[in-house]
Amino acid sequence: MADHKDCLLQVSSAGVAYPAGGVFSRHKHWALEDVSFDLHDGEVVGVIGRNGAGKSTLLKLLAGIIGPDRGTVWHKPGVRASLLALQVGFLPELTGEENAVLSCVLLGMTRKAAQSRLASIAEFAEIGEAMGEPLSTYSAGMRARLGFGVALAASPDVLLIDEVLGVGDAPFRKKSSAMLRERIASGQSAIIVSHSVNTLKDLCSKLVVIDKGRSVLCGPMDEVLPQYQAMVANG
Amino acid sequence: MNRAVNWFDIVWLRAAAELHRDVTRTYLGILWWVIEPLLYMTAFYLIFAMGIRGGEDGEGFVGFLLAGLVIWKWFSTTVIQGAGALLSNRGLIQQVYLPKVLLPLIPVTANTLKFGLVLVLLLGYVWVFQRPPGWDWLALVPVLVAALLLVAGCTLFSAALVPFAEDLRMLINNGMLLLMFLSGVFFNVAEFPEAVRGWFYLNPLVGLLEAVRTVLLAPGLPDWGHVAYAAGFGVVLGALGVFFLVRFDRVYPKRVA
Repeated sequence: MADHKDCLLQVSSAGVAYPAGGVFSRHKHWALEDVSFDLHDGEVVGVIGRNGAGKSTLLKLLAGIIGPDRGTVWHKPGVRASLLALQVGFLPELTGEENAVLSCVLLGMTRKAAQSRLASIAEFAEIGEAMGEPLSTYSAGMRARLGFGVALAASPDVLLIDEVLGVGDAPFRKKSSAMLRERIASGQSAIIVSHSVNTLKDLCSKLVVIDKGRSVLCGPMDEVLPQYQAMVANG
Repeated sequence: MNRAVNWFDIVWLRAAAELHRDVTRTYLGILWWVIEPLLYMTAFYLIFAMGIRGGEDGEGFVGFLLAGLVIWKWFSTTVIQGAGALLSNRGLIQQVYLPKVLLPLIPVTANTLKFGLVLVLLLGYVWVFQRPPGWDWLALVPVLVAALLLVAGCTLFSAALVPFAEDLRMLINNGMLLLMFLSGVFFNVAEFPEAVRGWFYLNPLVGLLEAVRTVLLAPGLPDWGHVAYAAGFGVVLGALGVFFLVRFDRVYPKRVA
């Protein structure tokens, strides 16, 4: 029995297989073979690996979107982990305000809770009066900002981030990135997937290296990073 | 508690968004909900009342057709939309975890609200042209509850199975026309020869349409056996659908990827 002490989330020998072929086909493709690590409260874990190593599948697994086909993923009771997903369920014919509420509700909030955060979402997204206009009239930048505002308002216990540390135009990218860093610095537990060493070195205290669906290295950043760099250098 | 409120909010807001889209996307908006069954009715009236059936009992036939069409439209639209519920939300269920059982309930809610509006118009028509309302109209309540159970049950069931075999969706889309012919939307199954009638009644829609017509058009009470059969049929299929949707809750996102 695994020891869950102080853990928010614990992954033990987890694997995920995708069906290949029809419903009666036994053939499976293992996108994730064998991954183990854990996340403690307030910790920020970085996950690094080549393209196709299974990073996106891992995030979906952690968010509870898909379940493991072997091994286990344990969440501390009541702890919600979700992807920093932008523009979830946005519909062009609804207004910015309606979309913000709908999106928050899809991310797990009640309608009441969502409505009470509208003002702060609008302020962060710098949308102002246009909140009452249909989304179809928004520029791509406005949509991205609104999406980011909603994602921040949804604030899950464990934030799962796939690469994106900034959206929209350059000034807003700076602002959103700063906002995220501030969140993380103030004790937000998070798991960040990236193939950029620099991003992860900045933000994370722990590093997990995934290769061909397996977690091959896992430990404190300053120990694992040199090993990973050596691994990459040796091909 | 909060979770139940959140689930309700998801279904309600998405259903409202769907109705809103219906209303704003076209110039005639909400009128289409009424125009559609009227067009069907006109076509069937021309073909059957004036053509094949030689024009007998024209006025009675309009009420007969309308009652059948309104229920049929509710059923077929919801089941077709529900069958695609997981596929059409594939982007969403890749981004966030949602209980999949909520997705088919969105078209059920939206279409039931639409049906409510059309039903009011149908009752108005019957009142003006066929017979004034009486206390026996109250029997419509259990009949419509049974209809709702049948609609929701078939929708949940098809939503649960379609992601495993999309062929089933094609089967549903194409089979709907056949099912309409087999459901007595524009003919009266009760007038069929005894030998085939029993087979027709295996289709729960047949007894259900008959029940609606009995209450509305002929002063009388429905065959409660037929009503219970339709309700039971819906409950069994719905329970199976919910079982699959819960059992494979975190498998569906892989299947519709």
